Amino acid sequence: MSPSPSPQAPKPFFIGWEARPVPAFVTLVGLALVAAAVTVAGLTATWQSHIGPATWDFAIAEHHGILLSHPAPMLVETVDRGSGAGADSTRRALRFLVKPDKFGFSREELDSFHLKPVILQASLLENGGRSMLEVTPGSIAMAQDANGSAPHPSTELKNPQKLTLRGEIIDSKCYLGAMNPGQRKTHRACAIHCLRGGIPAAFLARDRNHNEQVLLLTSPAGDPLNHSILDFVAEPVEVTGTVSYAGDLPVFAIDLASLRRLTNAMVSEAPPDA
Amino acid sequence: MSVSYKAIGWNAFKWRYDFVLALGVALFLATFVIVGLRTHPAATIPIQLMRATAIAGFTLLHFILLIGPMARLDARWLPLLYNRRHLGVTMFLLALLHSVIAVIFYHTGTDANPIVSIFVTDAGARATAFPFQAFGFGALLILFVMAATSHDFWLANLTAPIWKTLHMSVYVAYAFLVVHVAFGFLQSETHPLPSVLLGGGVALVCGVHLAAGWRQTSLDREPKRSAADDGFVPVCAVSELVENQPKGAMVGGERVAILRYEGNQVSVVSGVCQHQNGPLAEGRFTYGCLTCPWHGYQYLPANGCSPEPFTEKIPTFQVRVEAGTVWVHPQANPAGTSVPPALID
Repeated sequence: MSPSPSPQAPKPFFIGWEARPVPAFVTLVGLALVAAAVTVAGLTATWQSHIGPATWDFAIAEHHGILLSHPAPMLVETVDRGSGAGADSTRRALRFLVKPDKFGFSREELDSFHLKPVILQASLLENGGRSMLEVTPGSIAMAQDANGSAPHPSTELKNPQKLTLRGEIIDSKCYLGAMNPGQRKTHRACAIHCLRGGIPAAFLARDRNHNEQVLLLTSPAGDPLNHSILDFVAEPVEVTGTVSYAGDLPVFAIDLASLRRLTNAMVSEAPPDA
Repeated sequence: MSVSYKAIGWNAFKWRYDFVLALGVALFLATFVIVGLRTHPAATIPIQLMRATAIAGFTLLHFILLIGPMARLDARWLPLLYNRRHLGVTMFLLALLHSVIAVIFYHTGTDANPIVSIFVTDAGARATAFPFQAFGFGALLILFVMAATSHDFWLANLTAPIWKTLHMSVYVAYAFLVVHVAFGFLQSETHPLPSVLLGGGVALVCGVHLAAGWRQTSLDREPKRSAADDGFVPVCAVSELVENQPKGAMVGGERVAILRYEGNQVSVVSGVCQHQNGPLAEGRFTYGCLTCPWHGYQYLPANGCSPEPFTEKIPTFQVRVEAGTVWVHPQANPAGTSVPPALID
């Protein structure tokens, strides 16, 4: 055994509080991490899914139309089609009515306005041709003439067809623009609160090509279903019911007993009727 | 090291470290929100920020968890360990911002208590209704406790073993967050890539920890030694000692650092730094002290005391050199006990 130390070159030793240059390896890792942060952020932001064309114009505006208290609280409003629409420059828009936050109107609250011309203050939510008005509290009032000489809309449901659809139960407010995305598991808690608060329930039907269509959900008697479907919200499900139309709005009157859970894969693989 | 408590004991390296950290986080959030709004014009800033903070925080947590074992496997990572607690506090702030946005958007505007709502809106055993938010909330609480006690004030007052145990709960927080992501975000996705990334991240964290653990287990293996009549055991040959670079060994079930310094002196102290249990045997003799590789805490080799005005102390061991062999008594002395260094002839 030799008493003299081995002639090994000392390895570099870093002490944080020493005023020495930052080691090259650490500088390299730091630069790589900053570059990775920008790259990963850009890629993941681009890759995001389920963000639809839903918008919410927060500007409060005055809206005139015929109020329907059922099959869901709605305002039938005559709106401009925009430039280039020719002689028939207006159309009727069927707009859901809700309160601020996660609350909707009960049928009883609006029955006195049913099929009557009203004026109200509201902000507009829109998604894929469907729209909703978040009504300023206390702003609904009777109007003398909401739509000129236009005939009153009918609440009669037309073209009934029994179908089994696959998709997801959603709350209509978030889907139409209050949240984006307003669907699937991460949004489940919010959707449950909205439905519990009376926001109209809707069914987002999906087919194998990932096309989506939103339908108003009701019971076979045309009543709101909010509280009886909470346990199925935001999950892939299959349900059988009758699809009919209130104007251009599809209304899906479902048989609750037919509701069954699926996996995400089942929804996109084999839709029966979508 | 600092003798008094300051919010942060700044030095040049910490400034640079935090600058790069702040730059990376700011660039991540800004890039995500800007690119998200440009590629998805109907997206909203709060939801984009909620997603950006989630991804940034969870990715940062993986990096934080990798630094420790990587530093055990490759000393070049040690400088990244030096200021790791700032990474942890930053990760907590990202998680907090993510949580605040999620609670405001998903759990307010109702008649329900928003905190109670976190626990009751998802309450099913199936994956599509599994209470992922409760796990996120649990992780946030753990991260809060860790961030709040990250200062050396708490380390000194809780004592290193308790503080270290408390901060090991980061692994519980990580497990909670894996559940949070797997039963939340992944249930919303049909593409396999996010699942692959999460699985890869978990595998990387587990794999590196297992590799570092395997290395440490082999270092902690104590060979059978025949003790002399006075209890001393032969630990190594003098020729194995490199001046100013301690050698680690297991003696009597304890990690020790055997140090040859100032030419022909040999001292043996505990191999565990009082600060955060850092590996003193991987340190260096600098400025007249044995210096810990993790945060630069220092101890005089002859008595295990930090130089004044510092007050940290570690146990010392009786040592002698005979016929080219270093002998150590396996009974540790109380921390701070002076032991004359053995002299090499």
